Amino acid sequence: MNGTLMARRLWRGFMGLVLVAMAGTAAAAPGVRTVPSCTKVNVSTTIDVPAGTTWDGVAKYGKWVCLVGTASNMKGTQSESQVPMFKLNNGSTVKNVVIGDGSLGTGTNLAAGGADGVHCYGVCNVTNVYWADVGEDGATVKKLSGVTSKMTISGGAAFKAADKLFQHNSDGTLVIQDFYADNIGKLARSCGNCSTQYARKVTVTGVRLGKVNSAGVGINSSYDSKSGIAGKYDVATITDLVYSGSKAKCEAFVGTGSGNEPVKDTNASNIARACVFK
Amino acid sequence: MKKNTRQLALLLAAAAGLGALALGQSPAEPAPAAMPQAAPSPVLQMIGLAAPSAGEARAPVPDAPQLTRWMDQREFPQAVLALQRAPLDADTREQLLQQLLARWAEAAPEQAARWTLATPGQAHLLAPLHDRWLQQDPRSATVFAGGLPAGPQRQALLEEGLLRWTAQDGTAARDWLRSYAPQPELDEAIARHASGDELARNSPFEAMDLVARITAPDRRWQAWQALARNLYDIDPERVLPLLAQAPGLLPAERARLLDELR
Repeated sequence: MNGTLMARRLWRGFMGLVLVAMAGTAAAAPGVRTVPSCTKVNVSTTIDVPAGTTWDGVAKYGKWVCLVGTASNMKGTQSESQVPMFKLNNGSTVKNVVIGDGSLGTGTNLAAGGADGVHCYGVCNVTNVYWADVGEDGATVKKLSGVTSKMTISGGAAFKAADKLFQHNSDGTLVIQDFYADNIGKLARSCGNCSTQYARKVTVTGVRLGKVNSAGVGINSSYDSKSGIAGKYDVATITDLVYSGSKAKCEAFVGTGSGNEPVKDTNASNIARACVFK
Repeated sequence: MKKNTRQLALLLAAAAGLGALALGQSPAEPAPAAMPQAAPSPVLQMIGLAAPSAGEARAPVPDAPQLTRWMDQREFPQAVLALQRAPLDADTREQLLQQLLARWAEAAPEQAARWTLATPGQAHLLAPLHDRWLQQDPRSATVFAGGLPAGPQRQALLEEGLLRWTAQDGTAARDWLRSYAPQPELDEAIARHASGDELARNSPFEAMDLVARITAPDRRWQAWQALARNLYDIDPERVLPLLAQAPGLLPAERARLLDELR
């Protein structure tokens, strides 16, 4: 074998190793994202997405639209009586849309028409959705009888959430991947005092956070006797979460029952089993 | 995008106004464009938006109407460079810059992207420009990213582009992916798209075809596992007949996947 041929083969081998190494790298968190330029569309009642179907804003309107709730219970205040902008039934998807009016200011308590975001019953996908100004919550996992919940937030971004952005009230898994959020309370919270409690999973992969006012993910690293599931615990698996602020990336609580307030869990081994960084 | 222009003009006017207050003077009327010899206003001089002094090798810098004119005439590079020189506070500068970039990305995104790459010190603007470009034309933005020199920047922009293109126009994005030979740098975006619930539900054969294109064996196997799980959750009865038609999936691998579902 002559020298040139050997050098060529070595080079090919090296490039092969480089490519394999690149392929093995997990997807990085996205960069800073902005809300798409959009046309406002007033919405007076919840949009009910039938099971197994997709509601695609860009496909429906031919452009990016910002949905702004006009009813008094869709203004996007912190009132718990707010109704959702979208109700996703089992197996449905909402994608390519902006929720709320981002032009009203920079505060987190603006009545920007974001309503109570998205409610997911069963298995749902929230893909490439932007919350220009989060209302009561950005999205909430709700229990559907007979179905293990899984809500996947993939792509998109959220801004100006006074409290938590994604709320997990059901069983099953909340997946947040390839996402950007800025000026939020918490990225996600497993319900601390729901009337029916579950050991839940939260998976965060490839997420970039700007300003966080409370914490990254809030989970119940243990449950007390009032919860009905004492001995069980949530697990948050966090991979490639980019955040340089001072708040905790994962905050642990003792889950409890309805009518009680969850307290911080200070037990180190509980926290270690529940906040898993990969 | 007239609204953006108005906001930009208002912000600049506000910045100029604040500067004037600090000097104890009224804001000067901006000089009309037809008077090139007019002396720069003290306000504009103070915030660094006055014309350069003799010998300075830099582009002329704008007052608010000038900036608006530059945007209307698509003279974006001058506007960006002038803004960067202006001694504004960081928030105001960033706000103005984002609006300029948004306008530029809407008017001439590829020109904007090429300018950031070709102009020293401006490479950091490529990502925010690309973000805007993806919102309006994910295909062009992704194809542009694919043409960049190999490296971390191309990988990041290509992945971001594919994830957003597949969300906005999955059919076109998948056609584009299939027009290329399998490539390692496309693996992650393909795996995420192909192993998602929506594609498994609506186009399971396309999902399987995509998974088979993933070059890294470990990542491909993870994607098969995720896809099989989704197919099972959607309809357990259909998993076996679907996986039996999966391209490139060996019988032993199929059996292993089915075992893992039980």
